[in-house]
Amino acid sequence: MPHPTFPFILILIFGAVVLGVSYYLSSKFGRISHDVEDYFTMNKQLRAKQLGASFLAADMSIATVVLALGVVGYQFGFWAAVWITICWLVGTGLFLLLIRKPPLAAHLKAGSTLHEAIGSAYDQSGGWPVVRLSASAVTIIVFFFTIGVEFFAGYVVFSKLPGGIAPFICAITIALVVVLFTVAGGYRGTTNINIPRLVLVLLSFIILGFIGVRYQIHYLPGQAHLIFGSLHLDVSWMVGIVIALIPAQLAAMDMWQRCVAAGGDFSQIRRGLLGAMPMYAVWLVPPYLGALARLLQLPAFNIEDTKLNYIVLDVLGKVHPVGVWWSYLWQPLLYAGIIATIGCTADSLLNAMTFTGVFDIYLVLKKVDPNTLTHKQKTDLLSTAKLAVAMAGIASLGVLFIGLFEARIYDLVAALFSVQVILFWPVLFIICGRKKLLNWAPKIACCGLAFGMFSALIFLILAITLHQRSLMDYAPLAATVTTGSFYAVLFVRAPKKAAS
Amino acid sequence: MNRKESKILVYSFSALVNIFLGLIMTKLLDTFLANLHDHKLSPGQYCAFITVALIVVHSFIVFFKLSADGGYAFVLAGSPFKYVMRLLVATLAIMVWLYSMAFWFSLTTLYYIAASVALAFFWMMFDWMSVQMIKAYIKAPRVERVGVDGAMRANGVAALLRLARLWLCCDAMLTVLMTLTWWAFKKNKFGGDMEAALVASTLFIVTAFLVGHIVRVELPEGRIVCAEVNNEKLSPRVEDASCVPYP
Repeated sequence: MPHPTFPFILILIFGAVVLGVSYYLSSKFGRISHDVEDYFTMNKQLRAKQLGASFLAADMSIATVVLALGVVGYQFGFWAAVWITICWLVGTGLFLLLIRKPPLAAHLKAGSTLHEAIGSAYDQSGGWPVVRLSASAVTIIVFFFTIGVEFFAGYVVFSKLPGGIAPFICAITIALVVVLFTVAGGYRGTTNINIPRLVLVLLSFIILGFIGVRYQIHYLPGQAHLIFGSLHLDVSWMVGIVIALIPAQLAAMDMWQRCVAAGGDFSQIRRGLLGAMPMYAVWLVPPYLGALARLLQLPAFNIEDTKLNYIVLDVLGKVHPVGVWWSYLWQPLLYAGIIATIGCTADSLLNAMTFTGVFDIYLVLKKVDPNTLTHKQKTDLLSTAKLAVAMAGIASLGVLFIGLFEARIYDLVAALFSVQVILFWPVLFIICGRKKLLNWAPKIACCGLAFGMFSALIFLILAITLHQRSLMDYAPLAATVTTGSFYAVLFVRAPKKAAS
Repeated sequence: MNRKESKILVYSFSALVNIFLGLIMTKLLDTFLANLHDHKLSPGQYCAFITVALIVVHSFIVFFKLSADGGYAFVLAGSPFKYVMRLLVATLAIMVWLYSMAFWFSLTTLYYIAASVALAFFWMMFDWMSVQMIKAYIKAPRVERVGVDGAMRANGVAALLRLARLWLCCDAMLTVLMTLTWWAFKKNKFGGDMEAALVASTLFIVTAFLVGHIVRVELPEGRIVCAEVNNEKLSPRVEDASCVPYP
């Protein structure tokens, strides 16, 4: 019988190996980058396989998938998670469809950022680029908190680990190593390590699924119908998910960065994204465990509703497999996969956030055109970018602390998506209004983003303070309707471009 | 103030800081050895000791590197007197506080974390005053300035201003994170004293590493001195100092 802390030590060793190898490989690939464009866009050399791996890796988030989807499975049932996955994939399809349209395709090929594309349509030439800056601020706020939530999820995982000690230190250490290898590797480094990390992540999902199925077969035979439940879902919730998830891809800077890194080559983008889609089946493993937890909700199991974040981990604790292989191999592998998952999402978002910060805020405020920079200045900007990555990553640890006081991961994730979707409208109207002069009122465009953000936040604050969870479903709706209304007015009243 | 007098001022300032750092180190070792002899130190207090020791050594290295740079002497000698005095007061506050921490590390973890919050705040104030002083130097009438070529000096000062601003960002971040650590510890959110002390130490060490990195990147050996002497030796960043407005 091993000492109670021995499996924990093994987990730490496996985790250290994952982080160490990630750091080594990332910094090895990162050394190739000698200027800021290479650092953020791999000199536009991203191929389909890497793009697909990057897309999948960023979406295999511990907070969004392992913990939040587990909560969805527990609260709304297994089919709710299927609906979420379908909406996400439809959103990806919509993204694929719309980025081919002018002028988005031209912006992608030119290597512009998402906010630059928005700014070019809504900001007046020669004036202060308020819309570009506002859109960039939205992305930075959303990504900053998402990275923090991801690090906080690491704390949640280690706080529920049997025999585990100092979960906060574990979470902080993981966060700092992730920041370190993102700084060292940049987009090139972190993208090149995605495939080995993904293998580990998928293996950990398979282990999770296997544990659930094995328990169900042995202890709950013939009760699959109770786990999967009925297909009946609340319509308002379903609409909320459609509104929050389908536009999310088009509003996401990390997705845009991937496409820019692929040089706007549509065939590479399509092959990469479509190739990754079947892998999203593993998204259904955590909700399956969540649904299993619903079935296990017996006094003996004592699963408290107030600690929904832990639902998948609670199931893992209750359905705790035994045996030498579990302690010595499967459990360390599972947690190593979870650590890799934190890295996959956090580095992707950190790169996208800093890309936005450097190109859409820093250079814009300095009034420097990146195309006119000399090679020396680009190299110099690289050190600024690295510093920005480090500072943003360390600052996001603040969210980890906030999570100690208000720890509803699902709520936080929902809050972030609600805010992010507001960028969908400016992008959509760029495509619809390509024959119109949309920059006739930048203030309206700017107010649309600000009011959309605030309306979502009002619903989220009300939901948390009044303890009315259902109010949260209306946050994306409020954000979408508010921002959409402003941009619809902007679009309808926009004068037509003069034929040249 | 001529070049020689400015050097005397800088050397006096550096000597004062280094004497204080030496005193702090002595006090720290003294407290450590006394407690070690009485077997009073817990693992959390060992963490606190190592952190305070690293902070003192790191402060010494950073200050040494900064005081060896010509631009620092220019700004210190050419700024209005009241700004120099404010900076001196801020430096003394940090030193006195570090001296107190050399004693407090052996008290409870709460004392150590609360003292760390105050230290982070003092650092932030010091950086803010440095930024104010450099701005005052830039705005001061030309006759008060020491140096040779205005444009070259401007480049050096711009690099120094950028360095101070980056430090300010780092220390503001540290102050917020340390305050959150203290708050979380007060609310019993950590697993124990050891974990809280380790979190505080990690945050301090990471910020110290970041500050050291900023100094290495922004202030390579004698860069600003080179800027005074030979424009060709300017590093790309200093050449790009046109980003910072200079009257």
